[in-house]
Amino acid sequence: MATTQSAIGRSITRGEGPDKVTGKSIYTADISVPGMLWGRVLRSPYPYARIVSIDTSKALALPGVYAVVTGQDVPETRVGRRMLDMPILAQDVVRFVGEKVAAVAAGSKDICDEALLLIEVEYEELDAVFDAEEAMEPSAPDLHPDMDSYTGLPQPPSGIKNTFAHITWEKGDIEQGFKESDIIFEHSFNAQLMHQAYIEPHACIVDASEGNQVNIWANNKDPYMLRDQVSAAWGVPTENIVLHPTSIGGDFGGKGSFMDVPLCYYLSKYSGRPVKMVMDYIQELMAGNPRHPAVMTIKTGVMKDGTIVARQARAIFDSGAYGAFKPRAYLGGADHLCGVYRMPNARIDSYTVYTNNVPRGHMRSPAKPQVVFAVESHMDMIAAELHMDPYEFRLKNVMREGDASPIGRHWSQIKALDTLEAANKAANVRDARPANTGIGMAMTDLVQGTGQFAAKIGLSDEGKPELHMAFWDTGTGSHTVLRQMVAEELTLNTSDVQIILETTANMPFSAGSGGSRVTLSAGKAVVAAAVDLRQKLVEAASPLLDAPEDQVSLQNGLLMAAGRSVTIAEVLAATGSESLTGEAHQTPEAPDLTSFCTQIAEVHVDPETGEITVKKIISAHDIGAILNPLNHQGQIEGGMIQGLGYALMEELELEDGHISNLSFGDYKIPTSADIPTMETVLIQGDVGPAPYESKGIGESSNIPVAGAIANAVFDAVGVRITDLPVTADKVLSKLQELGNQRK
Amino acid sequence: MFATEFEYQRATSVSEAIQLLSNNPGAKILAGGHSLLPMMKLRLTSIPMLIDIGGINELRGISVENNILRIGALTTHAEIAESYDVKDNAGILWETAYGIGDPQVRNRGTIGGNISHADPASDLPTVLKVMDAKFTIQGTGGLMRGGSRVVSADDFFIGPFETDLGENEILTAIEMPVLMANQHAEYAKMAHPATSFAVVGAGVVLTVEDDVCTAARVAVGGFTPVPTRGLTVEQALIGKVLNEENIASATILIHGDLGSDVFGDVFASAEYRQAMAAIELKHAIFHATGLAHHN
Repeated sequence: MATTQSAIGRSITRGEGPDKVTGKSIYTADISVPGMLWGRVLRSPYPYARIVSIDTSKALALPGVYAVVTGQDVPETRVGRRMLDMPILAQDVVRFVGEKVAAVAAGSKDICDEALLLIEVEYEELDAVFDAEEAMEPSAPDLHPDMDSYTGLPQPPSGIKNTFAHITWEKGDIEQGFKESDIIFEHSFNAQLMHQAYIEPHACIVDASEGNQVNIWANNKDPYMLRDQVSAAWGVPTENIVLHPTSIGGDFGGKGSFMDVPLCYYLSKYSGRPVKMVMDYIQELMAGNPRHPAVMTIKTGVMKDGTIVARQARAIFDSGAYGAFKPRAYLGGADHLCGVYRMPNARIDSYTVYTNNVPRGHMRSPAKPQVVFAVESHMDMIAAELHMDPYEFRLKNVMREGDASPIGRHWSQIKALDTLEAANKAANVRDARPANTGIGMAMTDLVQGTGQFAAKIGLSDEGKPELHMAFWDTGTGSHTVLRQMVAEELTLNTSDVQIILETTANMPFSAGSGGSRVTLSAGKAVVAAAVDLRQKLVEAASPLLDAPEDQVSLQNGLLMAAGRSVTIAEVLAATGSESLTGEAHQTPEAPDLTSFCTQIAEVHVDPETGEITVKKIISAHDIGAILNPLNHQGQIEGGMIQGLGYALMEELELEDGHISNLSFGDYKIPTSADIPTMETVLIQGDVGPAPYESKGIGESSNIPVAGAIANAVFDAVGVRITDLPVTADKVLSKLQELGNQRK
Repeated sequence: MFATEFEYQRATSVSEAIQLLSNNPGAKILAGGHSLLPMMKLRLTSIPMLIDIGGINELRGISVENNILRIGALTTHAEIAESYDVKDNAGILWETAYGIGDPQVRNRGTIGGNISHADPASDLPTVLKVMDAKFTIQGTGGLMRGGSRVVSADDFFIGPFETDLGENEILTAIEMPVLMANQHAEYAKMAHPATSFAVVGAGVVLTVEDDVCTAARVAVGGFTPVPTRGLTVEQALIGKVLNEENIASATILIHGDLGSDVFGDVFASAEYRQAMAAIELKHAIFHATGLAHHN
């Protein structure tokens, strides 16, 4: 470790921030390549139909049109992040409203749109299925008859109709557990379809117009994985595919999918020009890769004193028409369906099912907001039946040090109880509250992922470190934190460290952003590269200082020994830049740690209208060292607000596969007027798996919000909403059912 | 996207505009263009000719004469929101105009265009109905008042995006009686959080003498094909002292005035909007009469 804490722990503002707010940042849509054309796609108006014929002759005849492609012009290859099940362009069948049927490359966007109107497609509609549970019935249409042959299935298909992944987690003996229980409760929940609502829609430029090399600019956060996906789809070797860096305007889990890139290559090939494709927001909301809706049932056996003995949970995730937008074919977050409670017997069944809806992808802490809403609502529903306080019920059952998780995982430290107690204390729950107000709590944990990362640190002519990576900042501030790490190891200021984004051709493989892995895994690679460079500086300084290496130290950017010092620039001048490069390419071990979060929401419900006002959300976190307090708090608060949107307002409205709220004028996301008082409680531990004993913070605060708010609404007016979002309409309807309009 | 090709004519007088309308089947009047142009660009409609009436100054302006407030059809929402004549004589309209869209929309959008478009989600039709507004319509025929006719707001709105306006007619002016000292008017709405359009809008104009309601016009809109008059609510209010109890028992009767044609969506179901109609109406009367506002 470094000798001084010069850079870590400071609220360093974003390096790219000024460029972003002044419009200087270059996003994919801003990039122009000489000779570039625009590409646009024609999408299916039907949820499920056979394509009888496509006539592109009129579109091709339109002046300014360079290429028109249909399914017949592209290979039949299926593409995907893991599951290869999505055609590049619909071959003979369309499976959702918005599926790509044909594409045009032309001199302008308007010519493209004009040409799309001239493409004549004849469809024969088929009987579609929109409900995941119905899709599992034997009588449902078989949406993917060739499913068994798809590459990337997690295991052989279970034999359930349209179900391409059935994953289970199990501990103990669930049947025995229920036999031993005094009382058994069972409840069902629904979670809605939600869009990530990043500001920047998907965009790409593909240039396959000359030679063997294919150049790609895309706002995709996983450049190497995208390279591998399109390499497989196109039959082009990875060494011929180069991903160029771009700014990314928000991700929230949604920018890991290939979207138009596989198709754009063929527009470029056929037109002989580079082609740019930018989705508009109508297309984003219709055919992006939104969060999975889920139908969940949880059954719990308890003793009369409230001790949980057994829990069985089932989640059905509607994957939409394809599974290609998931990095795994299933959602690992379903493993949270039993919560953060101790129980000897547990079983989780998770099903991922094809329907004729828009294909779903990843969104911030995939599957966890859905399942934690269910499990935390279920906890309060049991507590109410047992006439126990929800806090006391959780206190009785929450995991403590040494406990195995419901699915049998072991952690070296468990601070669930600490976060529960801290949140409860901050909420002052004993204070008398006005009529129609209530509080509700919910808790979760989140494990950081790992991945392979490469970092190289060289020196500028002035002796300033230059961190080279092929890793894009999705808007989380990761580049700034990585620069802080370099500064820390080289005892400099963060402002001395520049990040230089390389193409994928210039660096070995790096996993992209996601899974709360960046600070941990990219961070370890960057620290290792910085340590490597520091050692090389010490070696090079040793003869200059006339001192043995073990007596040379680096302090405040100076190499010092025996009262003498040389600057890094002087070492560079004497040694040359070739030998002064630190490098690392590594994958850290998966951590045996998790991080807990308990939230308490306080709401007021208008008994006349059902309208919910969230007055306050308290978020208590079990954290490690904080590398950048500003960024850390930004992640916590941003997550809480995104969770608030999920809890109360955000929903893509689906009717027979058609989404009706296709603009931000109709799809409501939280604005500053909706944001309640947010209070954060940080419980700092002394261990963290990431550099400097830190822990990831990006994906926990958005998870419990919906459960906490649903529980608070119940506390306020006695109605239980089990399907998200919790709207005034639903609350009023339940209030009227209750005939219980307390004034 | 570009709109499909269309002809453009700029009329210099109302009679010229009507002439162009009758000589060019399918032609449409272009006022502020706030609803029409986006529909054309999205190719939701294709129109062979647009007749721009933006240069006809006789269609602009606000005046008060003989206790009648007259607003030219081409008057923008911004002009209405900035007018003391409107503020002093029809405060309910002044406030509603100020709440339409954003400054860009208010600067371009016109009252006549809004009414002719007859979007059921719009606030103005409900407000004009309770204000007992009359619309002057000019056409080709030898109608009374020199080729023009007058239609009340009650009769003008026929259905969603459908009005009494004929093919070759132009809405030229909106007139309404000014509010008297003993009249209280208010428009209350539950707004969609993203669009700000009315989930439910409720307008009231009440005449009060010695605390007793002697005349009432109430209407709700935003979730019915056209704004719906609350005739039974009006009857229940007239002759009553306007206290909380009487207001609550009268406004609940709006459920009976609403037909079966009530809109709902995922944000707010038809049942929810029906329930909110009584609540918003109650809020409007509370505000109008200065009773303590229910939280």
